[in-house]
Amino acid sequence: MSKCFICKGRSYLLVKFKGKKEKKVEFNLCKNCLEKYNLFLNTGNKRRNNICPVCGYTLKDFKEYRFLGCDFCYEYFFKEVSDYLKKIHINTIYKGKYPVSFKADEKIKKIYFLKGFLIDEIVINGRH
Amino acid sequence: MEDISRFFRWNIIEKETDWIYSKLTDVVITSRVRIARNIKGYPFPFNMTVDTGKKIEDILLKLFLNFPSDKVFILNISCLNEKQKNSLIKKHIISREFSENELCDKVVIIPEKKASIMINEEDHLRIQVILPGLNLKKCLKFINEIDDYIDRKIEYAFSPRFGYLTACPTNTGTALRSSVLIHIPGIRFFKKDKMIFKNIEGIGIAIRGFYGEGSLPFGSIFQLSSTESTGKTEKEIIEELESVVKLIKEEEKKCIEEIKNNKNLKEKIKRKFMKIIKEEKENGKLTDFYSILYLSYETGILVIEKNELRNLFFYILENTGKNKNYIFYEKKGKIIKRKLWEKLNV
Repeated sequence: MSKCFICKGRSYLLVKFKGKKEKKVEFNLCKNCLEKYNLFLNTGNKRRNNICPVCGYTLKDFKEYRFLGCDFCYEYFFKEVSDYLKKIHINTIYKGKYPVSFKADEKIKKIYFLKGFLIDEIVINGRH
Repeated sequence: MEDISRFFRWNIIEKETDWIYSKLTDVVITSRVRIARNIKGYPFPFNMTVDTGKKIEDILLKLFLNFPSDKVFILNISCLNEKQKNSLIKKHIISREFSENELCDKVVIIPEKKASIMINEEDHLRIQVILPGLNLKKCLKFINEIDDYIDRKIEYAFSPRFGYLTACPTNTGTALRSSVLIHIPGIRFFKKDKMIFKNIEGIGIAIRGFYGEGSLPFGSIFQLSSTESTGKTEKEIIEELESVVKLIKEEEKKCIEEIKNNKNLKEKIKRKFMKIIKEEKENGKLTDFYSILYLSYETGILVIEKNELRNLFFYILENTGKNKNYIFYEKKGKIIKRKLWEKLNV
């Protein structure tokens, strides 16, 4: 039985982070940690329309003004925001400080970092 | 919340914010670090209602009233007159846009941390620390102390993928911008500024005017600012700018020394200075006059006290941008000119 990388509990999930340049990192994670730390946020969420359900800001607004309406817009328009950030910044991988309130230890930060770095493909137990 | 701005004396604020230009005779006049922060779950300022704005204002002001410092000033900008607003703009405590926006009018000043915090500007919080001289690391230390205090009380809009989330994605990430105000009349005298600026722009450092983005330089005073907010740690952003500024500082000192040791160059500056003083009609920009004035002071052509130079700086700063091209022909201007003539080391 493999142990969860974060909580050392029982893990049935094998998570693979894959990048374009054949970089691959594997983690054993339990379902609890996967959900608790929202590790798969924005990796395939399908949105119903182009209006942020929280603040009503639209994708058209973003394309026109290059501003976002609220923090949820970053999740809702994830792809568009990511693409835009890649255009305006040399490197978009976040390396700065974490809020005190963001309860994340070094291991979780490492997963987040890899998720940002090897964003191209994430596989759980052989499924995308 | 009670508006306390009516109960304090303006001169206390003037005094408590006086640290900003205390190193006017250095190559690096000020160092500034600012961070942008938003509260999780609330729309960003430009997209929110007046009521939501007030709610956020209340949450944040309550936090700052309990900030562990002897003095915390909360100013209601709409209660200030034009002169007072301009004084805060000149000291870079508030932006001009902030002073003109009726929806956001609260600024918090914490003199102990040399910090000012604009509420509901482009983001819910714009925290900045300004210190005299080259002091970026200390700015970061102070800003982290304030940031961590707020962080323990409220939940920030943050994503591990993007970093701190801001209204404009160009700030997303560390949401940090570091900048310095540099005074380089020596480099400009030798016309080396364009070459230097071209090189530093290539490594991601922006050259801006006296009041930052979109403003004009004040004589030979420029603002150098970091442009990347993500892909680097806060420390890396600051160290990168600091290393560039140190090189410029060395170059400026070399230029000043070269002028000091060269009689012909000194004579050239003296002639330029005397020409402006003698002129019946003012030609050229007033801010450029400050460059010549400072160069004359630095090379010993003009013998005036630091304090007098400081007063002149503020006099020129006050009269710049008002379409007053002929301030030296006003009564006060004439007196200044005569005094300068007397102080000229001829």
